[in-house]
Amino acid sequence: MIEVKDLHYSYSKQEAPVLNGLDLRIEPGQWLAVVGRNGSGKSTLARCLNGLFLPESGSVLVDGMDTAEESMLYPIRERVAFVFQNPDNQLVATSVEDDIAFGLENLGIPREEITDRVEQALSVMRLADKRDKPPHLLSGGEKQRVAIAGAIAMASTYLVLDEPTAMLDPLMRLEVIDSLTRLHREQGLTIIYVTNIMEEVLLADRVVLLDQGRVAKDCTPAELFSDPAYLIEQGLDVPQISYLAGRLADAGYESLRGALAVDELADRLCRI
Amino acid sequence: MKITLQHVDHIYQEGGVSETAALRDVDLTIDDGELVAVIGHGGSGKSTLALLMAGLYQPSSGTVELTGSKDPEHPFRSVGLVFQYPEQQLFGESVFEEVAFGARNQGTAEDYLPVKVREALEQVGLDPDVMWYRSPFSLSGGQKRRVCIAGVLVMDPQLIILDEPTAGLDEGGRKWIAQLVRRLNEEGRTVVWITHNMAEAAEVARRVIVLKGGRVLLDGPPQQVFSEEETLMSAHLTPPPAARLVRELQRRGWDIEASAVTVEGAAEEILSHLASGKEGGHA
Ligand SMILES: Nc1ncnc2c1ncn2[C@@H]1O[C@H](COP(=O)(O)OP(=O)(O)O)[C@@H](O)[C@H]1O
Ligand SMILES: Nc1ncnc2c1ncn2[C@@H]1O[C@H](COP(=O)(O)OP(=O)(O)O)[C@@H](O)[C@H]1O
Ligand SMILES: [Mg+2]
Ligand SMILES: [Mg+2]
Repeated sequence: MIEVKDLHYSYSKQEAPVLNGLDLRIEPGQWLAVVGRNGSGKSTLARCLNGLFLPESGSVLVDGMDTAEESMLYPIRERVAFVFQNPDNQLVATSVEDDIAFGLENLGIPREEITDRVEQALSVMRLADKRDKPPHLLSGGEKQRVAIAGAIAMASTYLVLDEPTAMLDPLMRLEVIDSLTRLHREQGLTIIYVTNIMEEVLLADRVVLLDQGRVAKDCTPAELFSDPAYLIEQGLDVPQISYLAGRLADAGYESLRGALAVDELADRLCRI
Repeated sequence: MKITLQHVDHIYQEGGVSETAALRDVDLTIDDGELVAVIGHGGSGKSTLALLMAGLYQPSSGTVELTGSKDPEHPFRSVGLVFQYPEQQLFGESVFEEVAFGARNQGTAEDYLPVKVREALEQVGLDPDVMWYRSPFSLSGGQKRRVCIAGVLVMDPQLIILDEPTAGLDEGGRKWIAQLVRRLNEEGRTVVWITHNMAEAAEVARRVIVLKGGRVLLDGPPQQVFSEEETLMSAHLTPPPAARLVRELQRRGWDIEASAVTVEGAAEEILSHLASGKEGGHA
């Protein structure tokens, strides 16, 4: 479990804290979506979860280990891995295989174990045929899959992803989402998924909405989408179909409210 | 200002092992005052098209011509490009330097630069007093994007090209960009907006150009382009959900036109169908 207790974080003393007394418990095996307007503190929180940033006050415990304790940093990084938004900024080596091995070498893991973990990650992410390719010649979706492979080779329990598909087109986005869904289902990996794409929130078991550095709402995706006015107030996108369903419900067809997908809304319309 | 591309090919690493034909035989004319969305899957050539239109790349063959520039000696100085990744564009030590760069290049007098920079920052909703000395690299993704746009607006371009400006922004940021695009166009500028968000393209543009594998696959008003569901699917694209819904209803026997591409358009078609009591076909 990851426990975040009364977490405060500021980038500079002059400015108001970015995380402002944030509490959150993440159970193993969950798929948690984190949403909130730009600047609400999502990326900052994500970076606190594996000790990339350290709390100003309050604490972050990963399976009981405190990120503020320097000796815990490696054991924590072996549990919590991180994937950034822009795939171009996180790939370093000259081949896919070396890139996945890179972080492991830095952790001082023995050679044979590195080979095993790399093989495992290549196969789970279906990248075996790309192993010798230079990462810069891959598509954005493939690059992001390599970044995820590198992350899961490092850490086996929690995967934190900060808007991993924001720079990808719809097809590549599906590619990345499919791999994550598989990882979550088959390996039981806990997924902490920062996103502003509401269709992606639907993948989660649970969603937390951040507002000014605190958890403002903690619920299921369906609960979140049942209130378009609140979403708009929080600067979030209302999926086109939810919006249309609400618009038609307001015009007197109440049974349509809350529909999330094209087929679902068509079904309900045909029943009127 | 009008831009005309004739038989444009663009090939990267020509003759090399990783030779890539990014654009092939593209013929396009975008007239003065148009508001055009360009959509296409990743790698379809959108960014290459943007760089060619901005005169930053020369086509491997064919021509890119501008007519009606206020600076006929250097017509491409009237084109502004907001790059796909802010990191490609940003380099300045401070927000002021960043935004001043383009205006200085155009020959704006040094003591007039602060006025121009201030104006440009205000246009993109950034507070000049807060931003002035900050490093562009310390800003959030959304703020970086705004600084990049200010750096282009400061040059008062007649044609402005925005390459996926909403990627990575939240809903507030996306709405703001959509409004900005409309406003720039209302001010008389020609606007080319590259996006992979079909709903955005449908709500804002009056013409949609679809690229696939470096060629123009579709080109027309949104209603027409988004009705070509199968052709779009072949390019790994799907029409916006509102458009898919009205077509789905039509498939299920509803007697409607199914040409809507926006939420409002779809709501109107559906409500008028429900009100007319044509309950018939959709058992
Ligand atoms: N490196 C940084 N230096 C200074 N301020 C920062 C830095 N990164 C983020 N901030 C500020 O912290 C706030 C929260 O940012 P962030 O955690 O990135 O939010 P989100 O990911 O929800 O958009 C914003 O106001 C942002 O400007
Ligand atoms: N600098 C470059 N060198 C080599 N190939 C490139 C370069 N830039 C783009 N390409 C290739 O050209 C094609 C079109 O790319 P691009 O114009 O960036 O497409 P889009 O913006 O639609 O994703 C892709 O196959 C891409 O890999
Ligand atoms: Mg962020
Ligand atoms: Mg591009």
